[in-house]
Amino acid sequence: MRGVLLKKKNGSGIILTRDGLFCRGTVGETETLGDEVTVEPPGKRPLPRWLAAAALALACFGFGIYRLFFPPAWAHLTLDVDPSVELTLDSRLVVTEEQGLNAGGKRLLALAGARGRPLEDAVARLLRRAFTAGYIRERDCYVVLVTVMARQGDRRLDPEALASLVAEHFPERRGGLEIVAVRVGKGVRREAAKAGLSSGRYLLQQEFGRRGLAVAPELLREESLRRIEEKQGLTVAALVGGSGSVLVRAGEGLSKKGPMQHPPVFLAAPVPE
Amino acid sequence: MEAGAEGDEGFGKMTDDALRELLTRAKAGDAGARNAMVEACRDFIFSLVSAYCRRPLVWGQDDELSIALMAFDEAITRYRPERGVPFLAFARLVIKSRLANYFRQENRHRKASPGINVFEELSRDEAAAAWEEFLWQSVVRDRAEEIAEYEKMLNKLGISLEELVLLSPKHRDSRLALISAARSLAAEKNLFEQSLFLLQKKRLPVNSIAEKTGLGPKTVERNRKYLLALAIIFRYPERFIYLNSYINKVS
Repeated sequence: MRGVLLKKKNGSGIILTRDGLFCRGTVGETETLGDEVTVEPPGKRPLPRWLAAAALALACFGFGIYRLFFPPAWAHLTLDVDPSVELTLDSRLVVTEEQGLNAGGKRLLALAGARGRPLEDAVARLLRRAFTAGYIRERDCYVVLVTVMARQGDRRLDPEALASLVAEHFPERRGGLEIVAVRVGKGVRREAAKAGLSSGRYLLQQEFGRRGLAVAPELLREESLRRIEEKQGLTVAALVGGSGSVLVRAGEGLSKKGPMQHPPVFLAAPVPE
Repeated sequence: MEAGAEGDEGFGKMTDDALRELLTRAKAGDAGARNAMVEACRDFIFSLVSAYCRRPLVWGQDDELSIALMAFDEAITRYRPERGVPFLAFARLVIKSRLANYFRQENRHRKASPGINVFEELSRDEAAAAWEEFLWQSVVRDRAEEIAEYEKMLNKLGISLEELVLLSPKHRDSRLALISAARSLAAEKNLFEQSLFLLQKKRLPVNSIAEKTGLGPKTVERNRKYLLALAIIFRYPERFIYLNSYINKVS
């Protein structure tokens, strides 16, 4: 702390800083009243080394214990099946956290929790429950938007793998189905959280904005993706396509037992942050 | 004791920046700027000499004021900005030194004793250089005297520096707001003097100060000693030149 020395006694002095702080601290012997000096405020003496080392060791140990019980997130996956949910996965692809990102998502998780389950099991369970709860209906057409934020190189979480996973476990019905899977970065997830949207719906919002289309945030958060497509005259695939998405399109009579009929797919660079 | 001339910033009727500009021009040889500076600082010179002589003075009658004017002019010539000393502090030093010389010579004449003037033993050039060096070295002592005077004035009002350490607001924004409020208070002569008077009786015209400064009454009450400690610096810029200059540099 730097200021003009106003008083000095027995190695301690009072200074006045430029921004009006009267402050006490230790001063050198040669400093005189009126000099601009730097003081060390009392109570800021350095810790004894052994104490500093012990504190560091304790902090490391505590951190280790914390990490044991709360392992860091390996990936975040959002699933917009009209209800929007986000699943946080550890390195074993087990769901460690779940979050409903709209009213439907919160309700769905209340009916069918995913925490503690392996990813495949969790996705199957959520899709099954969404069907029985009426979010997915027999004859309607659906768009499922999947986003994943994960470390590059984990092939288990490639958009293609995730799209196949959803397609495999989507309830058998007569209606059409489109699955768009996109890899996103931390920035997108962060901004989406600020906007109160899933990463997938946030991407849509950004795309609408670029095209000069105004969509109310509440609508974007709660409305079904198919209805948004119909109102805006644009498909989700067209909006987020070309930014690292994988598209799986299935027609009527899709059977889980037979091999998936994949239209031509494309895989480009991940969505930029 | 005469207060300094009123103004929101700087000294006298001029801001610091304007004074600095005049000084630069005066040192470059602009006679008009030099005269303007002397004129702008007449109140400062008068206050200083009156305080030094401890008696009322009149322009055109008392030699001390003429000597002070010449000393001020000399200060303009000798001043070196790169030394980092505020100009008015340097000018104060020069004026006091010349007045001290004057009184010494007057004493010698009265006592009819030769005495010793160190500078008379040297050649003219040597004397000028020695005199200038003596002035710059006197800055340290002058600054210490100013600080001592500040503490003395605080103590008269029942404020100690130790107390101000405890009372200083911890947040910078709060302090800057109070600095601004102290300036407003200092600019209002009657309110300021009333506040000093009442502070000693542990009372304060809180509402008047609040109205003038824009602070809430509770803030004024809570920070009354701190506020007045700063206001004193702004109210008497000719006495607390270093402190005034130091705090004035905060943005």
